[in-house]
Amino acid sequence: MNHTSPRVAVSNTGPLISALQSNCMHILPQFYDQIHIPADEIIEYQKHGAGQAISDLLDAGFLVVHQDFTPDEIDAALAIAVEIASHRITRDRTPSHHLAESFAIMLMLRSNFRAVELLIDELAARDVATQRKVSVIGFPGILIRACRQRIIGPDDVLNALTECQRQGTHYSPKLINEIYSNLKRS
Amino acid sequence: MKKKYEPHEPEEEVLTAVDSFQDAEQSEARWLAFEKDERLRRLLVELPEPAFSKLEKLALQRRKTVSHLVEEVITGLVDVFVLPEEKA
Repeated sequence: MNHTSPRVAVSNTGPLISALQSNCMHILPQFYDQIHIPADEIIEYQKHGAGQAISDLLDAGFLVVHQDFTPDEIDAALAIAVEIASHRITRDRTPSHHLAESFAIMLMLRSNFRAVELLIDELAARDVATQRKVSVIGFPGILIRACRQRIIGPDDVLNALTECQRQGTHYSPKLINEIYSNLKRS
Repeated sequence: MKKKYEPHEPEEEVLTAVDSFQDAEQSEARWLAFEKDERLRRLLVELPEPAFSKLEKLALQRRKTVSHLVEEVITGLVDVFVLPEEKA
């Protein structure tokens, strides 16, 4: 009998794209046994050119897709999407563009689902999630944890975030420099 | 050639360095609590069923971890049975 519970998290699209952009996907299994995602994200990964990489992770059992949302959960996710779209920080005011993260938040809110944290970078969606007492971590936070556990070094964190930025992900030079200099000091 | 991926929602604001360090610290604490829970779970799993699954269900209902629930129960038992005896 296996007495160990898997280390489960839910992810929004952004952090997994960042992990792929920076070639850091190997870090995630150090912290998680399974990452669950809503089916709505699959279309986004395909749009980002990550369809095959995500398909490989699904085949390996590391990613698990959910499309088993009840009508009540779908309604609640729609309401969350509206809330994100109308958030003061959001630039994209179209609720349907925020459905994937809304379903990810819904997964976290399931009382019978034992995910420990939600991987998410976007400020508005993070705010909406934390208002619902959902625990969150962004991709840079995962890299910081990996650095503190000596899985990677500060230079690897710098290179990973810089590569994400080079490929268009919205990590600012200030964010990257502050994280790097702090990790170098400690 | 290195594979490139299109960025996700590049127009949206993302977290700051302060947020990121806070994320890392809180995540570390969550996983430490998870590990603590797991150790207790491995201990309690030896309880004949359905004792453990009842505890687990109760903890979920109260949005607590099993270890917090067990801590509360033990604290309550000490308050009721041990402390009055000491006072007497």
